[in-house]
Amino acid sequence: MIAALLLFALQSGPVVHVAVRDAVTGAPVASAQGAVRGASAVAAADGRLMLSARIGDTLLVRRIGYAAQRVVISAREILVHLSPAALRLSPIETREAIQPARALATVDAAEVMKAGGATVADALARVAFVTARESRGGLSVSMRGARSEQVLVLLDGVPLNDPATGSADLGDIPLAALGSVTAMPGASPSAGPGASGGVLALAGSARSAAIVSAGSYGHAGASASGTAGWGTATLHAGGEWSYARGDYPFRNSVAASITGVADTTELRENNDLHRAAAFLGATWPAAQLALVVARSERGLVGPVNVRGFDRARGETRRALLRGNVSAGEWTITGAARALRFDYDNPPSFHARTSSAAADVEASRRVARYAVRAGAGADRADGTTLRAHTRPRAFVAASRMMERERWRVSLDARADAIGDAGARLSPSVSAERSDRVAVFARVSRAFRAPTFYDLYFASPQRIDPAPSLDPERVTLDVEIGARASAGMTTVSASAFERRTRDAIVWFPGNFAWSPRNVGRERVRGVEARAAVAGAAGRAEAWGSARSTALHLDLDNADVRTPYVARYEGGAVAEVRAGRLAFSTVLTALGRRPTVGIPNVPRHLELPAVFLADLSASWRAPIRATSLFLSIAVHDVGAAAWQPVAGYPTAGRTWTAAITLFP
Amino acid sequence: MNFNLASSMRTPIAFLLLLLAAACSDDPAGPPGGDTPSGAIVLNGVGAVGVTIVPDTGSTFTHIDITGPFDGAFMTVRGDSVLTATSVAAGDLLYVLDVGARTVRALQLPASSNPSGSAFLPGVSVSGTHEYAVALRNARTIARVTLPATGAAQVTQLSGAGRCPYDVAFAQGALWSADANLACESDYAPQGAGRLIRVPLTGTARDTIPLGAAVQSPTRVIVVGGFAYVLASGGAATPAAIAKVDLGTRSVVATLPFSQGAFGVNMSLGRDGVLYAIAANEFAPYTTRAYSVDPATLAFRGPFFGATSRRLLTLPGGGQAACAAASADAAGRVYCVENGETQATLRVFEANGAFVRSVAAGSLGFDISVR
Repeated sequence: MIAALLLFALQSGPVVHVAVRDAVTGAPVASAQGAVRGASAVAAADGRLMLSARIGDTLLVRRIGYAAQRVVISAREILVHLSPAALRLSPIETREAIQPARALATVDAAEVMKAGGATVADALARVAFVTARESRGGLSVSMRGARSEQVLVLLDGVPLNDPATGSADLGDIPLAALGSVTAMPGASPSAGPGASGGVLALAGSARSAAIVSAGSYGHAGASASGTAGWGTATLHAGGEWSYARGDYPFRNSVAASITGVADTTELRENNDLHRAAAFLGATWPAAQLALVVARSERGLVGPVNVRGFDRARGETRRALLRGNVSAGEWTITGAARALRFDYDNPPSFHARTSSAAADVEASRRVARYAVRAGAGADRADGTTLRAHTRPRAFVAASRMMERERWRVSLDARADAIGDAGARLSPSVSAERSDRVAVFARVSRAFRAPTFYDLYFASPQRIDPAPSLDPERVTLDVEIGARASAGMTTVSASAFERRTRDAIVWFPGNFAWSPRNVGRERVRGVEARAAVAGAAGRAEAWGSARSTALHLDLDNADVRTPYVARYEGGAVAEVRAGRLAFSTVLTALGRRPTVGIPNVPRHLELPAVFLADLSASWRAPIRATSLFLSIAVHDVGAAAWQPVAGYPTAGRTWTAAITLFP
Repeated sequence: MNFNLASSMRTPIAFLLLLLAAACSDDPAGPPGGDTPSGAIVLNGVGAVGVTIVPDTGSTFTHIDITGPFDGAFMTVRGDSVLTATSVAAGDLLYVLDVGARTVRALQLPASSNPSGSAFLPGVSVSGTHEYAVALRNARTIARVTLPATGAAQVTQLSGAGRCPYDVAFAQGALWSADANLACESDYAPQGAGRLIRVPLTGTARDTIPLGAAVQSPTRVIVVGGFAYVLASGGAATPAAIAKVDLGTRSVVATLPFSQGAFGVNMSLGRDGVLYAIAANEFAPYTTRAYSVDPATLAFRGPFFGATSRRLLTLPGGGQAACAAASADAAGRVYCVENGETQATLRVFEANGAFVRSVAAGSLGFDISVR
């Protein structure tokens, strides 16, 4: 036995400990494979692996979604940083590929959970540059003045935008399945058609955690996720369940005009929300598989005073499957997703919308270019939607060049979409690194008409013919600078986006119909500052912009509804021993509720200032961390309206117990 | 009254008779005459909702806001009073506006009743009580609303008003319900041909007048003399149509179909005694046009645009007006509300179709009344 061990040591050399981390986020990279001299090992969930090697050996570390790294072993313990693949693979684990020269903001889902957050909405409240709008249980986002259908939302690279409506509802995405949320405002043509206003990239996680939470108005929730090794695979599975009655009081400001007396205070009825989700992931050194299924059922409460929706219910079911496999120089990705929404307003109103999409793409490096190509199809049908299937295909190439302090990225993507023709979307960005780095980016993008734009079938049998052109971002330009000093980072950028043929629905006496309108322009500035230290961190951001949609028939400019001219936010976290306190501040300017010129005051929602406070206490129990947290949302009880007629609950509380093994 | 004028109606004398018919109509929602200056009242249905009063001269207009939820597309005007109702999606409200006093009163109708067209009931009591009728599509009733000078309104529902009562008129001492016969509470799917139903103010007796297979989805009813004129939107294979119903014999005396594919939207009675109907033939984008209809002959009236039945309304640039609502003054000048993307413009044309003037008229306009 001893002889055998001696022989093994002579042949293999001493043990080397390797920690593999994401070069961008610093997060451990699970399932990375290290190989040296014919032997290999796979990193566990903490990104660590061990193998026998000698000083001077060359270690190859690879993981799907990352550029392989060769490292000469120089010590018994080494740290290897893997860079996300330069090609925009929309990979499962790598987060959305980071462009070097643009504004960017990321939050770690674990930090949100430690502070008592339990939903994606809680995470979005902490993401700079993002405005989330929640009503009737749905959650949509805007950034840089874009409409929600102009923001491409990706979960591990798979679009969550509904092909039928173009918008993404994040309300049923389980926070427990997420590792991070990254906002990339501005056109991102390489991410795919539809990213004309920005990309919100949700990255999956292999983290193990358990949360139990309770809060105001009947909120209760639980989620758990765990990771286990199985051969060379890392398996990750979890689930989430939550319920909220949502029967909070609100001021019915319409009542006074009816009764002639004071406003009344009423309770929200039929405002409950049930959600359940499960997710499963498996990662091998050269392959990944991910599955997310979710179901939510909610009361579709009407605007204040409107009782016609007191029994209206909505049910959303979603399934998303994605797989990646690495074969030699190629990476093949396949994805399928399905979404179904059922609307039921007893006794006799039932409506349904179903959509599905399937994609396959292949990518590899060709000379200095990262190249990928893919094809897929979308399908949608429903009660007010004529069934239709739309094929699509694309080819994309990108190249990054570095010389001294300059880094230049060139991207081009050509899409061919049924009903929308063929489009080329280029993007060029450059950054010069220094104490004060400066960057610039110029992009073009487009967004194809949605199925509702083209195939809506109205109850009155007024069916618009599909005669819409794609919405084209003819120019999306951004110029900015960022500086880092110690633990402080400051960045600022100015941007402008010009869109032609924006697709807007206009009302008629009986029917609304979509139309391409002439010119849409958004311009503004954004700034963000962050400081981090041992005792905590703080981040603040602000944005000012103007939006102008020029209407040809009216010869007038209108602002984008629900987009404020000014908004900002701040997050501060302070740790004192086992205690941590955090504050999330949100400021939102006045927002027009209608798209008309010179919006009168009474058709604007007032400016709001929101403050959320939370405190958490960490109890280390053996190798785990247990967090007891309590949060108070909207401390000032602003009870604002994200959408006209849909008041929020005002001041609420949430208590949570979070366990990280 | 029963006017049975022949095609010679287009003579001035005949017009005078017709005007008399309108003035003597026992439909109280007939041509108005308020205390405020003459001009047009435009119903702004989306955006800055409310009514816009455009005087006969000048380029300024007065807007009266409806600040509560509103999605109405029809209004009924008598004097300075305007009635307009919201659907179930905007809270089942009846708004009563006084354009002279510039007041707005919201009256709550039964929840989920899905109100649509409305009518004034005759007379005002000594105590200042007003009465209105509102077609409640989902409730399948007509609401009789009693509004005292002070205090809360009282709502009584008159049942048996049809499968989907879309509009209501008052004539010959009774209410007349234009039953669209649609599944209004769900997807508005047609359930059969349209009907006109007589609903007395008291009692449960109902007289149902089938309007025929060519009259699908009635949405508006206007009474002139002893006749009701019912505009039907049409269906998938049936174009819009106007049915003329003799209220005395309670039978359909004529039906005027629009061209194939036309979708009927709205109809008003001009002060010249002519019906002005709005219909859409183009849906990408949705575009509406005005048609003039002679009530006596139930025939389209010119001058026409080309070989169509559309009214000739030539804009200064040479194009034809896309009217979302239209009516006329006593001289036959056509008042057309033309909508842009978000803004309404009132276009006035001579009876021969020549352009007279344009005035801004607030947010998108869906109905008009000429005073």
